[in-house]
Amino acid sequence: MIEEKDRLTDTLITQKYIASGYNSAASESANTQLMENFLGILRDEQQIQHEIFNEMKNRGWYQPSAAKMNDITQNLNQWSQEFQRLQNNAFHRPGMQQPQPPGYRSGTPQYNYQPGFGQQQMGTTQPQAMYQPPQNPIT
Amino acid sequence: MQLTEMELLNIGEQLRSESLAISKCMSFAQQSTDPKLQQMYARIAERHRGHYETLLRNMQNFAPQRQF
Repeated sequence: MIEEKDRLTDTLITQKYIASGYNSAASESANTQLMENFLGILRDEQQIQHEIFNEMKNRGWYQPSAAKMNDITQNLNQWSQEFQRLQNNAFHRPGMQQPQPPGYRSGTPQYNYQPGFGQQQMGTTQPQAMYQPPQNPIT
Repeated sequence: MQLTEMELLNIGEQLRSESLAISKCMSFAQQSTDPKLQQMYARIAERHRGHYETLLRNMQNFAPQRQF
């Protein structure tokens, strides 16, 4: 028996699928006008999707639990270290400018993290330990 | 300007999806017992119909003759 919730879920999944189709279609368009049309419809599909998402959320049918603070800290540590590794290795080539510390550069995403995260790994070479998938993936 | 095979394929693919979405929303509007959701499904079906028309117009612009 199809229930109210199933219909909303079905509509949400349909929207996701359609939106993804427009995303590909837009990027594969040689014609600019056609691409703009695809992008315009994509925007509308996203709005419909969000409308359904809100409807489900308001009815308590979509209740993602809050991310654990520990998991956030752990992820932040991990990706800050990864950023340090990129700064130290990937951008450090002979003839290139000395890498600058993260956080001050315009265009750098401003995360609200405590400065010092990831600093411990600076300069050390532990390529194996750099990427550790979170123990409890946030779903 | 010509339409590429890829573009034609993508328009067709999206028309297929929109067509299904219209049918689906229309029947959901009938099946639902909640007046608010009935209206929502009808509204969404209408928006998908608009998308269908836009896609169709794009295809028409590249057709050899205006037959539609």
